[in-house]
Amino acid sequence: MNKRILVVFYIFLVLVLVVVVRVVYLNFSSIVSSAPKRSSGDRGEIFDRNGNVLAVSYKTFSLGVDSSKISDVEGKYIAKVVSHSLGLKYDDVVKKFNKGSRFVWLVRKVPENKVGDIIRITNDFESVFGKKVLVVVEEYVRRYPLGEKASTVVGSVNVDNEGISGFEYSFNDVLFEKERKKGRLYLTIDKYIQEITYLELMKSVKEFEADLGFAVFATKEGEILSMVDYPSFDPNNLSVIPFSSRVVSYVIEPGSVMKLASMSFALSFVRGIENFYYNCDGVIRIYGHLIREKAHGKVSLEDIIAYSCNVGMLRVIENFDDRSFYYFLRSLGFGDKTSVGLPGEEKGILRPFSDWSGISKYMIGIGQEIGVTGIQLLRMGLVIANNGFNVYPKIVKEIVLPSGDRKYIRYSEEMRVINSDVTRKIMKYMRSAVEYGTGKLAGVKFVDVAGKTGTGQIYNPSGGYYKDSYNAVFLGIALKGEAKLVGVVVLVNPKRLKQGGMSAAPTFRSILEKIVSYNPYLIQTQ
Amino acid sequence: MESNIERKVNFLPSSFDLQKSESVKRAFFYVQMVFISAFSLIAIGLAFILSSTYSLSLQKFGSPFFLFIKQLMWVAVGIVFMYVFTKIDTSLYIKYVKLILLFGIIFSLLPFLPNLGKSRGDAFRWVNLGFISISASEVVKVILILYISVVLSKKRDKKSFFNSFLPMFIVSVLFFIIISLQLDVSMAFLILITSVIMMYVGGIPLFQIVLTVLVSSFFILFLGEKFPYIQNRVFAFLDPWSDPFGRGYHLIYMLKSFQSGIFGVGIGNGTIKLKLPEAHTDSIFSVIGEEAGLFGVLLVILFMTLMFFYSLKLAMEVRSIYRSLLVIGFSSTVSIWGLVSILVNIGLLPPTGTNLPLLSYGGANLVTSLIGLGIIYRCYKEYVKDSKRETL
Repeated sequence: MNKRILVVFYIFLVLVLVVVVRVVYLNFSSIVSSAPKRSSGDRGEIFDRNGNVLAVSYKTFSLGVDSSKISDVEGKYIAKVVSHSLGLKYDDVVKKFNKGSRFVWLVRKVPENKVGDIIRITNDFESVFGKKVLVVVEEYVRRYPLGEKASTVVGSVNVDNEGISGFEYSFNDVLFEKERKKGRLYLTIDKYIQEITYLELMKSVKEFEADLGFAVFATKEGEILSMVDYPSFDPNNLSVIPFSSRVVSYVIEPGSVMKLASMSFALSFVRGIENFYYNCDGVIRIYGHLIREKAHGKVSLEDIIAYSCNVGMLRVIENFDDRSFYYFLRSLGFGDKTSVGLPGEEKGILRPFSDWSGISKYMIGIGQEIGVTGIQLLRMGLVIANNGFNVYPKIVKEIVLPSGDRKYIRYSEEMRVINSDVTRKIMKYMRSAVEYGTGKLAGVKFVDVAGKTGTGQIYNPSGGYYKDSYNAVFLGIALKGEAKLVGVVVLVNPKRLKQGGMSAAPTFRSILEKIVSYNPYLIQTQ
Repeated sequence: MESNIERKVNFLPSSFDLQKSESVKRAFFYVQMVFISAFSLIAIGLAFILSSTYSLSLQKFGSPFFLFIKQLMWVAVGIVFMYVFTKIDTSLYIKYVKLILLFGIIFSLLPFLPNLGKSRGDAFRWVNLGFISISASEVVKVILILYISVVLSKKRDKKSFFNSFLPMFIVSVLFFIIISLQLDVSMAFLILITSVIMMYVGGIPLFQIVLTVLVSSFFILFLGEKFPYIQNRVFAFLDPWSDPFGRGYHLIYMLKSFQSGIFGVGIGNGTIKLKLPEAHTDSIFSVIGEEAGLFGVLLVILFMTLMFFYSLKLAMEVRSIYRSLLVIGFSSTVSIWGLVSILVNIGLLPPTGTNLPLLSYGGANLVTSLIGLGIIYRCYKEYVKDSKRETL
């Protein structure tokens, strides 16, 4: 038995020796001289709807040197040549040698047009000193002409040129160069409308002293022309933390904008509601909660939307069936992600019907106890603008795959979710809101605007709501005979003019005015 | 003169007793060395587990020490188990061998049950016990070692094919098939290697051992056809550069990590742990290679060799085939398995998910290894007790 144990040990020992030899060999060999390089770091372009560049990569060159292989004199020579031909300070270049590390970057990311100088430097050096110590490396740099104006949608990349936010992230596989092939991406964004929206939103956020703001504008067909955030981030700066547009990721309580959904439900499913009149005395009691507001006197359904009368709305909601109301909201897209394809999209908060209390339908009906994203509000606006058809908001216009094939995203069939008679009425009410109601400040010359204001309370994570903080919301539809554009503007916690009608509505107006003057064709009648 | 000497000798303890006490002393030294080596390996492992899980823990759990503390807890649990097993008489395993075997078979089949089984990636080899999921092969390993030790020592006098070899053959192949059906092929082979070593040491004729290996390997051929998963890994091993970002990715980075100089880049400074998804389990040896260099790698190999060497010495000393087999079985699950894991990491075996016993992150393996150490210690204790009884 002992003999056999010894045999086992000898076999073990032989294997150990193999391991030792192999490990020593690996340590001193160059079996793997460098980690595999995934790609040159080149990426395909991202374009807007008209072919303007939103993101582009260009080739640069970097010059490095192995300082262990050169003497002091040679180092000084290199520094002199480099500083001379690239227009750098001699002292700055010499300093890099004195850092003590073996490998030194002399210059990094010099644009392609200066590549001739670099090649000349390396050739000169090799011919003078007869050794190869200079290293030239190709590197790609990603640039975004629109900068922070579109960064939350277009996205950004990391140091390795891999997409880390926005569509750069979602479509990294398409855009990233692999085996010398790269794809391209066309967005429905319009570069100029994006800029206009950003600048106007920035003005408003500053004017109304809001914490932040976001806005999204789309054509009636659901193609998003602009999606902006303020404050945003600079995608050309690698050290900032990127994020995706708050239009898809920031959940708010929409306030009275939800009345559009409630009123659509009322007109669709509550029999005989059209002739509803209510004498609003500004007080209503629901499940023991006393709700007070301004007395609006005798109000019709139209006035409820136009003046955003809570008491009247709650009286209408009294007739709602909880379950059907919940499914109606789901059919409008609340509680679900849309299909725009931006990373970080939230689905909002719409608690399942089984979790509702008796008061839930009232609260949700006037836009509390529900969390929505800007893109969900836009989707509701698109339904109303399209006579009740469920039109999907979209930003990706066309994808060109690395193979060269063109691809379009297929959206599921558009379905009717609201009767067209109902949407016509809702649209009329929204017109009234802008003509004589709470949305007066959204009125624009030459274009009719239908809209709804909202002033949502801001939920306090430690319980209840913040006492004096609101989100100002405006959902607007620009009309010229029929609906043309749909837009949503949200200002979070404006310190001045807190109401949606006072801050978000004029922001919508100023953006729409600029859009119309930039491209009148967008609202032309056919 | 002559008579004088004889008288003197008579006053001394008999030469037989002297030999015996020397042997006890030696055994004590051996078992000491086994434990020193094993706990050195655990200490080294902990250092590199902290290094390789630091950023992962921070990302996933919000605290950089989360996984490290978890592993520390596992060390504590393992030591408790080890202590418990030093108190269990080894004759109990002989008494209840059938029950133990039955438990092993049932446990190894649990991953196939829909509610208890748990899959990660392609493989489904875990038994989910609610608070922890255990790889079935870890339990099978312990049970097979106990079973083979019992069978080989019991039936030694009537060394017939049907009495000793056949049951062992059936059990080994059965476990091999069950474990490889769970796509834990590397573990199945390791368990097979352990039983082969024990059979060989236990005196089974070479022909029968070869038969066991052949029957098992024959089965794996069918499996290889069936699961492209295994083929994929084997092909990647043969030529990692054919697909450097797919199948060869792991191997290239593992090899690269051993080119970090004599003393490495320093603990915590490595980057391979960020490149490989499970660096703290399967590729901990590469992490050591990168961060502690050739020195660290050789240190680990040294401790592993010392542990095996002194276990074998101890096995030769303990004077009972049963105890010898237990010692050899459990020490080989640490050393031989560790060697296989190292061979994978340095690119001499196809990449498989084998962790480095005592060093890698993971609770089940650590606990079973420490249970093994407990049983080894128990064998030493019983040997000392026996030799004292004989002396008296």
